[in-house]
Amino acid sequence: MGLIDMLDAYFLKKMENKDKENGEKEKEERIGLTTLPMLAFKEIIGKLDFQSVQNIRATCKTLRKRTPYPHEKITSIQINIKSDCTAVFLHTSDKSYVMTVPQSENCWESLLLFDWDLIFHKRTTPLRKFSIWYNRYYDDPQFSFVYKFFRLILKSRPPLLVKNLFLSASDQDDVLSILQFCDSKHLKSIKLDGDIGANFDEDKVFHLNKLYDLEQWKNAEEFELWDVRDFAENDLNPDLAPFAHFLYLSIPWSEVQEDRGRRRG
Amino acid sequence: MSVENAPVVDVDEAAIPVEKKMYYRFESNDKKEFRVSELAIQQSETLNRLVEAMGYTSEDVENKPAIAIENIDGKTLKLVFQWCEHHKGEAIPVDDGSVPKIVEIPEFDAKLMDIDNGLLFKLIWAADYLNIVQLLNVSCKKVANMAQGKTPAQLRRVYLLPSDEEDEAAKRAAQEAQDPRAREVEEEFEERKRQGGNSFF
Repeated sequence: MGLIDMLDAYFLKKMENKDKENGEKEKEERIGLTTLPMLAFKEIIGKLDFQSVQNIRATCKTLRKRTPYPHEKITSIQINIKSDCTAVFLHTSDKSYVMTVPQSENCWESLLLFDWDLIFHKRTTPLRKFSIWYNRYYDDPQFSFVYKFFRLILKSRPPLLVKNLFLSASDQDDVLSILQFCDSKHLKSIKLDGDIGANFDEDKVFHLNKLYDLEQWKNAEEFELWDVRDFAENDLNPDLAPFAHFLYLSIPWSEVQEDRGRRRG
Repeated sequence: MSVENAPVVDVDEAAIPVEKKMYYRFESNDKKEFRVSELAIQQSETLNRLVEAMGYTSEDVENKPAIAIENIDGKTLKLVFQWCEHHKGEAIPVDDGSVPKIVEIPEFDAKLMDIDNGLLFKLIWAADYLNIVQLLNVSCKKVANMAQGKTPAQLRRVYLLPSDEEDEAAKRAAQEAQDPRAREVEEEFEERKRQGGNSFF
């Protein structure tokens, strides 16, 4: 018998003795939310909505340990960046929760970073959608800071499990900050709004071809491009081979208009 | 020893086979005795298996001692058997995860569970222990309904939960009450766990 086994036996014996000493009275007194059998406790937690599970977790350490993370219930994350605030929407199957942070406080990144590991801790099912959407009137020339922040988060973490990716981006580097860290097995759809920040840097070019070699690009089934700004020259007269595998494709360029297929449900 | 008969509800006699009309006797840990119909017992997987294994005849049921249920008191057991009698003959739900579980609390159950939190948690504990699936479902639903939409502070008040500080203080007090050698071993054990070691060697 190893020392660990001896310790286990010691603690087991100690617990048994304690139960005997204290008798049934104490056992009855102990019955409560913190001491319910795990099956029953999970039944209760399973019947609560996202916010209520969060509140249960916030009551005390014991329930925090017992309560599974509710974040598996999150089906999509939507980050809307406006001129005056940033709204992070967390959608579950039945409700949406929004965390709105005024731009002046500039702290939503740290809040999301705090939640990120909770959301993706041991997550096995992909998010239905992850999106970063910029308000048209967003007037901060440092619009790419969000992507730089995400690159920092994602490069040191497991792949992002998501089925549908939607990004408002100024160039391929913005897109790469997210796309290359997505799990290519789960990613089905890529949608890009490619002209943010055009009023700040009219000469900036979007090199879409930098995405073609990514596994995430090759494995995706749908691609949609909205409101493109200037693309690199080879994209203006593109070789359509890199798009051949998409079951649904929409690239509204003036020179090449290609729409085919149907979206998945 | 008091005898409490679980209420008998009107049933369709023709629907119940004659051999199912046997009433078993159970005794709680505070020596309260209950008579429960065989059909009602079927709601509890644990008790159903127990009586099947015992193979009692009608005479045995009357002549042998009541079956002791050591872990449940009379007040709780009365509620359990009232529930089982009311729902006897009903299909037992199977939760295989294939369909979303939607639980509604019937009026009878709602009245039965109009009790203080302490007794409600004992009822849940008993439903789990006796493996009464639907009673567990509705009692957990009742607790969930009570918790829904409440702030952490409100939850602490409703369920008499300790705050993190109180939790820590209770843990420290419990540790201090232990004998020094046990505390020493436990602290070393926890330290090893923190360091990620699986073994002392």
